[in-house]
Formats: sequence, C-alpha cells, structure tokens
Amino acid sequence: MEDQLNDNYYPETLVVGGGIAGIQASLEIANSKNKVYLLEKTGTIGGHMAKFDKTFPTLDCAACILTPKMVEVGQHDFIKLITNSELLSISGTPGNFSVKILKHTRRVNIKVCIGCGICAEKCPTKVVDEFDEGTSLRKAIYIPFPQAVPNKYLIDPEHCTYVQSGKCGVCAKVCPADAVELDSIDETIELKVGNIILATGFKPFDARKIDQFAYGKYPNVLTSLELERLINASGPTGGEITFRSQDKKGNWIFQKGNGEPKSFAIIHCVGSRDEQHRKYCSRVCCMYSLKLAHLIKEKIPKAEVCEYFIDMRAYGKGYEEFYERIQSEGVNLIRGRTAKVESKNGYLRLRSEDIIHQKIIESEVDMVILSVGLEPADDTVKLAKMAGIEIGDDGWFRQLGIDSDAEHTSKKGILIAGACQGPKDIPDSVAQGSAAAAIVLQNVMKNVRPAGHEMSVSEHIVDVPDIV
Amino acid sequence: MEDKRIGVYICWCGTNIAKTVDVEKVAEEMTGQEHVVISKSYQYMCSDPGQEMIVNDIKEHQLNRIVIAACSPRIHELTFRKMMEKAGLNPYLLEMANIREQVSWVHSDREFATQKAIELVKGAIQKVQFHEALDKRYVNVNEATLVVGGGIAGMTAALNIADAGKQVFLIEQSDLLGGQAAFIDSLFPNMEHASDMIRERIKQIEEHSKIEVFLNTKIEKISGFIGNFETTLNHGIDRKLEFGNIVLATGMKSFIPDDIEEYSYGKLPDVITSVEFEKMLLKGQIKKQNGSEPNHIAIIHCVGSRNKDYHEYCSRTCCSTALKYIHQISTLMPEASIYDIYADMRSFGKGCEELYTSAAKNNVVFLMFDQKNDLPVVRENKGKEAQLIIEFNEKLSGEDVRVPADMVILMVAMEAQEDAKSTSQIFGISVDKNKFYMEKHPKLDPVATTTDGIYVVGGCQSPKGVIDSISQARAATARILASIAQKTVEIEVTTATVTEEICCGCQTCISVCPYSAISFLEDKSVSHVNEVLCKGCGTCASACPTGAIHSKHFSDFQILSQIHGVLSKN
Amino acid sequence: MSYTINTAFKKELTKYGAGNWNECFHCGNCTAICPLTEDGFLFPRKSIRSIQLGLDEKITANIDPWLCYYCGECSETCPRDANPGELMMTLRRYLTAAYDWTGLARKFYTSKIWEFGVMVIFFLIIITLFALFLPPSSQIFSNPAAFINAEGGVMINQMVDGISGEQFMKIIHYGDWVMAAIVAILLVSNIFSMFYKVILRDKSIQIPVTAYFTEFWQLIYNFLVQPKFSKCENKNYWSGHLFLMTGYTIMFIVIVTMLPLFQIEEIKPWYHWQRLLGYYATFGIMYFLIVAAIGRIKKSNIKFKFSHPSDWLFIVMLGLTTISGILVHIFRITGLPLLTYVTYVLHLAILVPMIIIEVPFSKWSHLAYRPFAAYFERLKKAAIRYQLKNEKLITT
Repeated sequence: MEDQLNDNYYPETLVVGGGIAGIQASLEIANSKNKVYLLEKTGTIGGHMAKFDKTFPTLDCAACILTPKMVEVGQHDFIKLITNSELLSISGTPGNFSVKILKHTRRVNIKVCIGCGICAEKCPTKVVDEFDEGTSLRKAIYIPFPQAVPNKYLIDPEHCTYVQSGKCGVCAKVCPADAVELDSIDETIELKVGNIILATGFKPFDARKIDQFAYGKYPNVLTSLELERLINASGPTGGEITFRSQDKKGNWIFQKGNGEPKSFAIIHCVGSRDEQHRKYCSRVCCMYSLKLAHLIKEKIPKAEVCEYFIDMRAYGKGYEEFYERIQSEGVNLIRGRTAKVESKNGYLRLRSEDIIHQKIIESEVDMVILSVGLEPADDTVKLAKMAGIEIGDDGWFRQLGIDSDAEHTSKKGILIAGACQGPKDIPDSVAQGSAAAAIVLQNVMKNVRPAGHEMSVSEHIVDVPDIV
Repeated sequence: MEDKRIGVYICWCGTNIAKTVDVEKVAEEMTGQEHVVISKSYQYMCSDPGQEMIVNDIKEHQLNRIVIAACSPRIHELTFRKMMEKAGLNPYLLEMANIREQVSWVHSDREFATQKAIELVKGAIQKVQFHEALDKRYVNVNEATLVVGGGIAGMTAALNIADAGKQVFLIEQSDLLGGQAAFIDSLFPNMEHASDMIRERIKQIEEHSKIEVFLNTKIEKISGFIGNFETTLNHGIDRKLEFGNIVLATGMKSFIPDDIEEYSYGKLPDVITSVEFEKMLLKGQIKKQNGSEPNHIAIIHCVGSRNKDYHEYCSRTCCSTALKYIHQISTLMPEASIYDIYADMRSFGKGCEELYTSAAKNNVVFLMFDQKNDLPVVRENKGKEAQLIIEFNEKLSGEDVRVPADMVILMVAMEAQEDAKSTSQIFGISVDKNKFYMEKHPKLDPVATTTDGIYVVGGCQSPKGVIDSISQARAATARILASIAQKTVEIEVTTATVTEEICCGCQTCISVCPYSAISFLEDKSVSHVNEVLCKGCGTCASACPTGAIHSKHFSDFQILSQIHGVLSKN
Repeated sequence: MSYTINTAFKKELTKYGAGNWNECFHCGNCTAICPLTEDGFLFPRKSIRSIQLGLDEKITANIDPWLCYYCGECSETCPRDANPGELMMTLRRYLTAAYDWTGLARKFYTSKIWEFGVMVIFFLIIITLFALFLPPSSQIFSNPAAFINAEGGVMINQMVDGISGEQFMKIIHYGDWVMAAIVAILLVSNIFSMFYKVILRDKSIQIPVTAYFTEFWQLIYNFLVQPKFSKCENKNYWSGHLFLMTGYTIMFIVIVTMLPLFQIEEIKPWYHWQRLLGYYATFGIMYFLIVAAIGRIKKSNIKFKFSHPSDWLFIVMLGLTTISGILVHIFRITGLPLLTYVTYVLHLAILVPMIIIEVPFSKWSHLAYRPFAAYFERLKKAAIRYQLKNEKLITT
C-alpha cells in the first residue's frame, strides 16, 4: 500500500442512496469530520426501512431506531443532504472523481417552507402513494411521510396539474410562507469527491409476474410491504388491518372500518428461488414473514394465520429463537408452498401440500399475503455503467471477491454497501454501510493530510439550510 | 435558584406505547403539576418534527427543564441531549421516563399501565427540578489500536487500520495467525482458495510497518477507558502497551459432539466433524481411518445446533458449507454416493442458493430429518452396503429410511470460546446466554459494545462465515478511524465525586467499585474518584456509610424527589 | 417398513425419460397445483421423492403415475424447472416395463435396437408371409380390369390366385383373431402382474371383497370416458383424446368382430353407415395424431417438450397404419388393383408389429393400465374406509 500523501486527493465522499446503509455510511464518515454528500433520489432519506412497522427479531419499531439517525444526518455539520436528485455521470480517477448530479426541483423553497400542510389540503389532485406501497392516496404536493428528512413539501411533476397543463396553482396561492415556486427548474450540480459509496438498495419483486398467485386480480391478495404499511400506525388505516376495496374512481384502497379479516395465509418465496424469475434466495423473507404473522396475531389475537414455506431460513443471531417463539404463538407453519390462489364465494381459496403430514390442504382465507423477494433497483444497470463497475449474473452489483470481499468493486474508490450488493437484513446492511465507510476512511487517511476541516461557505454547493 | 419551567412530552412511539398507555391522558394529567409550563404528546418524539416541536417550545416558553416520557434512555437519551444543545439548553437538564420497556411492553391492562406511566412521569418531573447543568468532558485518543485475535476478522481489522497509517498491536494466543479460516480448504460459494487468501493477509501483516504482532500471548488485564487503555503483556515479554481502542476478534470454536449418543462420535470409526473433514480436503484426499476411500459419504446438519439439549441457535454457515462439501467430494471422487441429511436448507447468502441448485446435479441424495425431536442414529451395519448405517424417519417421504455410509461428516455447531466469559470480564463487556459477546444494539450498533472503545467482530459476536466476518471487522474500524481522526472523544459526565470532609476513610467504596476507579489518598486518608475511569454506576454512592460520595445526576436528593413524585397522590 | 436408500435407481430410470431428478427441492408446488391430487394420492412430488430415494418397490406398487394426465401445469410452475410432468411420464414408461413379466417391454423402452428391430422383423415376416402364401394374382399386371367391380372399385378379396374371396377374407380374419388373442393374453397377464404389485403385495391394505364388485363399474366408466382426464384445466386434450379413442375402438371392433361385414367386394355409397363410421374413426385418429405430432415438433406446450423415442414411434406407426389404410380405401374406390394390394399388405405389415409391440409392451398399454389404476384407486379407498369403520367399531 502506498504511503504517499496525495495533494490532489479529495477527502469528500459521495454516498448514493439514503437508505439505512447509506445513512450509516454517511454518519460514520461524517463523524470523523470528513465531508459527505448524501444523494437521494426521492424526497426523503430513510429508504425501505422507513416503511416497516416492527423489525425482526427484536420487534423494535423501525421508525424509532431509524428516525434519530435520519435526524442526525439532517443536522450533521459534515453531511450535505441532496434529495430529489439523481446521478448523471461519474468521471475521473480514484481520489479525483468528478460527479454530475441532476437536482430535480421540488418547486418548493425549503428554506422558507414551514411544513404546515395547507398546500396539500387544498391540492385537488390525488395520486397513488408510493410510500404506502399503493395502499393509499396522496396529493400532488406532498411530504413522503410525516417523519421525512428533510421535513418539507415537494411537488410531483408527473401528476401536478400546473406542471402538466399550466392550470391550477392553488398551492402557491394558499401557502402562508410563499414557499411554492411553481416555475422553478431543475439544475445540474458538479461535485468533486475522492470516494463513492453506492447504497442504492432494492425494489420488491413485482408479484404480478406470477399469475398463479392472482396478485392484482383480487384486492385482498397483498404483498408483504402492503401489509407492512397497513399495520403501521402511520399507514392508510392508522394501523388497523382491514379488507381492501374499491373507491369511486376504481382505485383499490384500504379504509378504516372496512371490516376485519379473520384468516390469513402467508406464502413464502414469491419470485425467489425460482428458475423462471429470480434464482437467488432473498434472505429476509422467511424472517419478515414470521414477523408479519406475529404482528397480525398481535392486532387480531383470534386470527388464524398459516404460513406456507419451502425451507425456514432463520439463520442470524436470535433468529432461530424468534422462529420458536412464533411457533409457540399459534401460527400454523406448513412446509409446502401454496401453488394457487383462486376466488370462491368471496373467500380466497388456496391449495397446498402439507409435506410433513402428507395431505392436501384446501383452505379458504380472507387475506393472502405474498412474501415477495428483493430485486435490484431499476437504475442498477445505468448506475453500474456510470460507475464502470460490473453487475453479477444475479443482477446485483458485483463485489470484488464473492467469497471474501463484499464492499470493494472492480473499480478503486467505488464501493457498494447494503442491499444493492445483494439482499440482506438491517443488521447486515448497517454493518456493511460501516464497512464501506471504513474503507473510505482508510483511503482518505492514507492520502490526505488534514482530516476534519470545516466545510467552508463556498463549498456549500447545494443550499440546504439546517433543519432547525 | 432560577424559576423552574418544565416542558413535559409524552411519546406515542407509534402504537408501541399508545396501544397500551393512554398517552393523551398522561399529558393532560401533567399540566396540573408544579412548575410544568407545557405538556404534550406526539407520535414519534425522536423524529425531526418531534424534536423540532420541543425546541420551538423551549424557545417560545422559555423552558429550562425537559421531561420526555418515551422508550428506554438507552435508546434515545443521547438523541435528546443533542436536541437540548441545539435549543441552547444544557443537555443534562433533561430527564427521561421509560414508559415503553417499563410500562407498555410489560403490562397489558390499559388503566393500570396509564396510571403507572403517570406515576413515573411525575417522578421524572420531581427529579428534573434538581438536575444540575453538567459540562461535556473530552479525552484524547491514543492513535494505536489493540486487536485481540489473529483470525480473519482480527487480521482484517488490523490491516484496515494500519493501511490508514495508524499503529496496531495484534495479539494472538496461538503460535499462528489465520484462526479457523487457515484450516479451510475452499470458501463458498465460489470455491476461492481460503489458504491463498489467508496467506496473503498474513504476509501483508508480517510485512506491515504499522502492525506489531504478538503470538503466543494472552491478555490478562486491561485498565483504562476509551482513548486511553493499557495493558502489560506477560509470557516472557513484559511489555506495556497503550492504545485508544480495542477490537475483540477472539473467534469461535467448534462443538464436540461426543455427548450426542445418536451419532457415536468417537465410538464408531469414520464418524468425523466438519472441521476434521476440512483438514482432509486441505490435503486433497478423502480417506477413511483404514486408508481406503469411502464409497458412501453422509453429511448430517445441525449437530449441536437448533436443539434445546445442546444449543438452541442456528450456526448459520453449516448448510452452505455442506453444499460446498458436496461439490468438493464430487470433484475428488465422482463415483461416490453422497447423502445430505438436513433439517432446513439455509443457503441464504449471495450465490448460495445457486450453489444448492448446482449441488443437486451431482450424485447426491438430500434427506430431511427433524432436528428438534428425532435425530438420525448411526450404527454399525450388518449388511454389506457400507460399514455404517444411519436410520431415521425421512420427512419428505414420510418413510423410515436406512442410509449406508462409509463416512459420516457431522456439521458441528459453532460455539463461543471456552474462555469467553472470563475474557468478557477482563474487558468489561457482556455476554449473552450462549456466551457470545453482546453488541450494543443489534441494528443501531452491531459492532460496538456498551463499553466505549471496545468493539466485537467476527465469530465471537455470533457464528458467521468469512465474508460476514470481514464486513463486520471493517465496520468496527470505521468507528475507530473516526475517533482517531477526531483526536478526542467524549466521555461520561455523570460520575461520582468524594466530598473529602465527610469521608471517613473506610474504603468501602473502593471494594465495591467494578471499574477500579477509586483510589485511596494515604496522606489525607480519604478516597478519590478518578472521574475518567468512573462510569457513574452509583454503587459507591449507595455503599458509602457517611454519604460522602455524590453521584452526579443521581444524587440522593434527586432520587428521593423522584420517589416522592412517584408516590404522590395528586 | 424401513427402506434402504438406493442411488442406482435414478440412473436406471434415465433410460425411460429425461430429467435430473435431483433438481426437485420439495416445495410442494406441483402436487398442490394439480387438480387431480387428493389425500393418499399425492403426486408428482411423492413419486419424485421415491425416485430420489430409490424406493423401487414402492414405485412399482404406486398407481399415481396413471392418475396423471400430463396437463403440464406442474412443470410450467415448478420453481426448479425439475419437470415433474415429464417425470410422471417417465414413470408410466417404467411401470409399463415393470408390469410386463416377459421383460420385453423393458427391452423395447431401453433399447432402440430392440424396438426398431422387432418392428422391422415383424414387418418383414408379414411381407414374407404374403409373398409366400398370398401373392398377388399375375392378372393384376396383365388384366387389372378383372378385379374391378360394378361400382368401379377394386374387389379386394379376389386378388390372390387359388383361393376364393371368402377364404381370403377368413384367413385375414382368423389372422386378426390370433393377433388379438396373443395381445389380449399378454395384456391380461400384465394386468394381473399390475394387480399383484399394486394390491396383493401390499399387506397393509385389506380390501373388502364386495368392493371388487361395487367398484367394477368404475373400470368400465374410466375405460370409456376418461373422466379424470376431463378434470384437467385444459379440456381440449381430453376431448381430442376421446375422439381418437372412440376412433380406434371402432376400428378395433370392426376389424376383429365384423371384418366379414366390412371387407366386402362391393363399394357402398359414401353416406352408408359403414363408410361414415370408417371416416369418423379415421378422422378421429388422424386429428389427434397430427395435434400430437405438431406439438412434439414445435414443443409449444410443456407436455411435448421431451420426446422419448417410444413417443415418436407410436405416433409414426399409428400414423402410417392409418395413412396406409386411407390409401387402401382411396385405391379401392378409384379402381387401382395393384396399388390396392400393395398398400393393403403394407397396411397389415405395419399394423401387426404396431399392435403386438404397443398394446402389451408399450405406450398403448395405457388403455388397460389407466382404467385399472382408477379401479385400484377406488379399491384402496374402500380399504381405507373399511379400516376406519372397523377402528370406530372397536373404539365404540
């Protein structure tokens, strides 16, 4: 390893992706008083973890352990948060990368916005809420979720009437702080960084691809993430588990008081371990399925919950014990994955083979939950090309040593962390975020003499004011 | 004394607290309390809008004391203390009442829980009135790091720190670096040669100017605190080391299955453990005890794992390792029949499900058993298929089967080291019920411990394979490098001090201090607390017969006020 | 009853069909998606399990493969691409060979040389027999008109010198009886072999004697209508097969029992019931054969993805038999005696080896094994009911 100190080495780091891995990496680096630019595609950091209700195996509330880290990121002197933006290009060499970022405009001046919410109240356009996994509707001007960081509004250009047709503009009229800037435009920013960490996460498998489970055909066939949002206190029904039905416009939504399902089936390995879809194991579904079974029983103690699985993968610290616990809570765990979901007499009918007890199970349930796997996010190919790194046969970013090095890529100075390297749970994502940060710190300390210089005003390329 | 103006905040914690405790009622009850200016509840107090609300209230209502009723202070006391600073208040003018772990998580009766929450918050209100502003304290950080354990995790941590230009002392109790990985032939899922990788790392370490290696050495005693630890090495060297951070990478050991009657390990020939099999693979030859090649090889999973009689936990890597063996056996001996006897196939890692799919293409039969209730029995075979026979009820077919075997490989559990408990006591960290070291928080902080400056990585934290150990080891170095870069680190403020006039010199406090933080000043005949070593546990204060020791932030007066608040009727 | 794992069995089975049986990781999807499975008859997964463990006795005692009609849904949805549908097909071939006590079926399935060889030998035998004992009259070349009847068609029974038309017809007819008898005896003996392996050898089930009679109608019903096949989701295969099956059944009955009525000198008008019956049968057979052939070439449906040589042989032989039969008819009607004679001989030379090999020893044996499997299934269920009733009586 070279020992020379490099005058042209930028100590700043770009972290792409504001999920838990990106957040962890940013905090680790920033706590060493080295600057981090945290780039996030959506209007808030938090990633998928912000959507969860409780996390396995300890059943900690996800928001409780995530939001303080989010706040720390938002308030950190050494982290520059760039949200609602995407990466355009990467050029240069390790230690001297030049990155171009497209900062989509929020059309809301976040320095001035007080987060009162009057704009959203008055906005006439309702849009399917992607944070709630499509289980509810939001407005075209919105905050992704109440604890978002930054906790400011933004306008969805694809659905905003003004942006699409020049009409409306109600939000600008009613805003008491004059924060709405309907005509502002996107801008391009250029940054110079020494290292880049890709922590772009995953997307859930689209269950519509598998006809036999009838997702999208019957409203009460849900994905695990949809159930997660339903159970969450900040979800569409305030945490009540209800049937899904159609509203006047034909949208499928959940509403409070819509009736409580009494029987549930959870089907494992939807899209994973499947030669026709994704061959790999998504690693977290067995555990989250057990967790969802527990949460259902917690909300509806008399509920009948059956889980249909192939192998039960409870491998981590405390995971086997959690599995034992769920078994003792009266959840029926059946080895034998359900083949088909059909509708009959208003119930959902399933057919499964109970392998251990050697019989066919034909059960009728109120609600079916599909434990969908994890897939690489949509922009994985694009990002890999930009960064000049490879993608593995399984579609995830390829790490340098498949048996012995998970964070390095084939390109020096570009690291990967979290689910974008391969499906993983929160503890492993956090550890990997820190691991990637460690490599960055090592690179920086090796190459740059002073560590810990304050961010100078001229380097505030993106004007994000302090949260408070 | 200034006018006390207290703000009380009750957190819903989503439904975690609000489901059991009527948080709005609690908030309302507090409005009538003495000195309480404002009392509110909110869904997630620790979030941005929650904190913002409190900060704004502080400014608007000139609050000078804050009570937050929420989860355990272990989770968010630091968060809220930072919030206090942002609002311009001293962080120690805050008191938290734990109404989650101590109320909503342990009680189910709503009325009772709400009443208990009210009492706890009243106690907190009483206590916080007597809080004093305390100033933050910092100590310098010694740039050197002690890494205990020369396995893959330890070596990774050492290299990562040393490559950043910082000194590392690497301690290894055996005479070789490499740990368990040095005895592995290939790694899963890609069959990379472990020995090549290990050898390269050992070479890098041996040649590194910033790493000093001490083989055949064990740590007997550690003294100091974060940024300033020290130890003296014995074993003939007699060398004093000073360092700022410690990485514990003492690894794990394999379970010896001689207690499991069913497997007859040590009684029947050619019943071996996975560790022993690995050594055969290293030599490139699979041979029975009598020197001949086996025709039938059986692999049994979950030996000592997932069973209440031995270890309840799953050892994580055995399934993927067994799949690796199937590949290796098929390569070395294509004609051999392989029988893989498993309970659940836990090939969850990247590339491991694909390893399972490709393993099936070899001459292997997968058989399922019930690892909780019905272990396979290994016996001498009276027939001629093979020398041993394994009998059990096979779950996927429902039939009782007999599996011929010339060799039985037991995939043994990974357990904590024999001396894990004593090592944990030397370093002042905790172990869980399986004697693995406890991390501070499985999600928020998976490599740190409750003792600042000490990190646990690799197998000593829980069973794991090479790639996960490497990631964990790197994760610890992030924190360490950051603290070295910052040059100082914040330490505990709520320490104890001795009022020398009242001290009678009985030295009771010295005998009870778990951190050896109190010393006796001979000339004055009084005790003296080293406030840098002191962790503020309060044991000395409660033991002192004269009340000479004052525990900051937990003074007798503060605690008595708290009790008074809890018991008060109004 | 404890089974010793036998890994050699899988290798044996590869001769009967495609597949790496190990790919199945027992998710249970196939058994669950099949509309024909029920408690006690859990296929294909359990059958695959028996293959994986090498439980050969259990496999030969199992009738599950005959309860499967290869709709292919299991294969389409199998997450491991283990092709359970084809594995069931392979088992059907294996069982056909297993039931056959002569060992010939096994030879035909596992050796192309044997299968083609025996076909060719019988083909040549028929040709030789005709050449030696029933050669065409020399007048066929010199005076073909001598064989034309009033309607302009060929007088088929008159084409051999030295014997009367009636004698010729009787020779063919008795020849058919001999062939039918041989085939019937072989088939019936194999059915007994199946009965032994499936019912008698299994000491655990006790079938009440009355069940043999009360369930007998199941045998007839299944033979005629194939009701289980109709339970598959895609009913087109069931209806197409019914068309085919009624077609050849008609042909069989006509040839074996009513040849004197059908193989006559005069040519009836096209709307005559005899001709219409023939056309129905021919069309039925050809339609489904073409569907199967195209399917196997294009591999459009998963059930046609893998073709064992025996699959093609059946299609080809039955197709050639039918085509040569069609040609005989065409040449007869259009008055071409030599061609009529040649195609008639070819028709018999193809038909005889086909029947002799296919019916007792190969694919066509399913005409017996499937209905009997349905019958045995009912017997086994009756045994279970009987056992449960007895247990209740004992406990009450």
